[in-house]
Amino acid sequence: MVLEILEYGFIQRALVSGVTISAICSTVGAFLVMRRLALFGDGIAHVAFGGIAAGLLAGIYPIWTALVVSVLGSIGLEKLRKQANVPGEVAVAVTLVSGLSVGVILISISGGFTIDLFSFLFGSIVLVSSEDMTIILVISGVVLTLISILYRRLLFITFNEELARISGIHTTALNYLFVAVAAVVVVTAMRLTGILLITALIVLPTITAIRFGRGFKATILISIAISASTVVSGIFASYVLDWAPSGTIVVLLVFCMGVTHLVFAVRDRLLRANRRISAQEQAVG
Amino acid sequence: MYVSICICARHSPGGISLQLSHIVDVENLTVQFGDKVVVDNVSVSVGRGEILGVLGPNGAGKSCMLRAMLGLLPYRGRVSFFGTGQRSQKHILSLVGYVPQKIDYEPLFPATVYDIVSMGVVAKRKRRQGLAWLKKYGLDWRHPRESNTDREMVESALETVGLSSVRDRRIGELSGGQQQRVFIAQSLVKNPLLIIMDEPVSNMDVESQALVCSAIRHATRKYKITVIISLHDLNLLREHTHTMMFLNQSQIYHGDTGAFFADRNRVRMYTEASMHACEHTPQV
Repeated sequence: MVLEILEYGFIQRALVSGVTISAICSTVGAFLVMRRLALFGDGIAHVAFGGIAAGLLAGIYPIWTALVVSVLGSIGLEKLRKQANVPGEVAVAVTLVSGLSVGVILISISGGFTIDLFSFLFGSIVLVSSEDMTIILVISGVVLTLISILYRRLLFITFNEELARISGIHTTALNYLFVAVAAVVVVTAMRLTGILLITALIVLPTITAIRFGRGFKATILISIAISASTVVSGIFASYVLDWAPSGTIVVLLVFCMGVTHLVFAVRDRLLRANRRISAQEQAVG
Repeated sequence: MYVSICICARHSPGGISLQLSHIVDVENLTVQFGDKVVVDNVSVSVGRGEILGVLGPNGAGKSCMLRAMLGLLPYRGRVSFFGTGQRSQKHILSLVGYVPQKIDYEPLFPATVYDIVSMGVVAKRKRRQGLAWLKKYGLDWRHPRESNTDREMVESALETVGLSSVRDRRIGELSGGQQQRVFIAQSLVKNPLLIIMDEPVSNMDVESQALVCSAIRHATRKYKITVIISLHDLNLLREHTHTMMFLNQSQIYHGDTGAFFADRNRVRMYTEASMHACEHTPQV
């Protein structure tokens, strides 16, 4: 049955695009979560919503307008965080409502919601065309190359920005570059889960992988593996069960995280109990 | 022991020639928050290979002075590193190691001790390669993988602070004292000319304090690294520093460590100031 499903072109495109998107979301997500900016994706996705509405209204391919508006929004968010000394979560909230409100106004001007807009809100990975897939692959290639070149410096900034600055790293330029890259990732990933569920792809795989990985790189790799396998299973499951792919993928990610945390909690409890017993035995002996 | 840090007069970052006889020159440094002056008109010079101890009760302005010197706080006055008349240039800062009193990071951060220490190598590498215009913004693309020399330096720095055995453990799993040793190793691996340490041994047991202070003194003597270190422990100050500064908002003493301890009045003045600071610390 699996081979039969794989014969469909739209499933092949969905799988390739889904796995690629999960790789870039997990990579960028690890840095965002550790910077305490887990909701960055949500904020930028809502800004992208304004960009999509503007694109649909102006008759321009909405992904391009979403990309431009999201990058500008992410730079604005970073400026708000750094120059106005606004806490990260507040900056995300301000960006989120600003983007969404502009989007709502533009939609009301255009005369209401359209099917296109719904596909951006809830994702439409099975509707990805060959052109979309090429764009996703190219953007992902650029993002992964940039992150691998800047990996050590980004890691240092993510760990502690003050120490990185004193080490001679140009933290301001790197921060702006990183949030712009993250905004591009968010817009690219909208195809998979949609604006409303984008945070799941950024946060859940990292939070699950943290329990396994010891180093940062190991955590990213495990996070990619979890995310990619969930996306593949989600696409198959949604086809068989006739469910929405985005919802199925996110439910699987939440399930994965829940099971992992449960297993590790039980393991930690058993280890503690074993230590207690051996300590008591030593005391008696 | 600490074997691979090799400081020599080759450092000329960004084409700026360094005068290694003048490591730090501070003139009339004043730090003020609103109406409150926390550091008042401090002037100090530190030469190459010198260990300057900074002593003062809680709230005396030690951390503020050190952070202002690094450009992390606004200040009035003049701070010059390596006789360049500059402080905040990125390539000057890349020659300065810093160990803060407390480091704020995400407790779940999935980085090993080795990862954290090897971050210090980034600054060192940045000095020696990259396209100029990209490097200006920290975006140089010629950034090769960690070399064997880098790995040796990280291992050596870990050995110096006695943490080789926990190199693969997560930073969050270590005790406060062990974490401070990790950051000392990170500053050493930068191959610095100057290390500024803000109470680096405050969370350590006596044995670790002695180990770290001896390692710092060894590195200073062998590789002519200059160290500015704030400490509360009078014994450590007497044993490990060449000169010292007694600070209580304003500069009360700056000179030879031996001369400070030879004068009982000065030591008594510090003890009284510490007790006064304790009495005026709000109770939690």
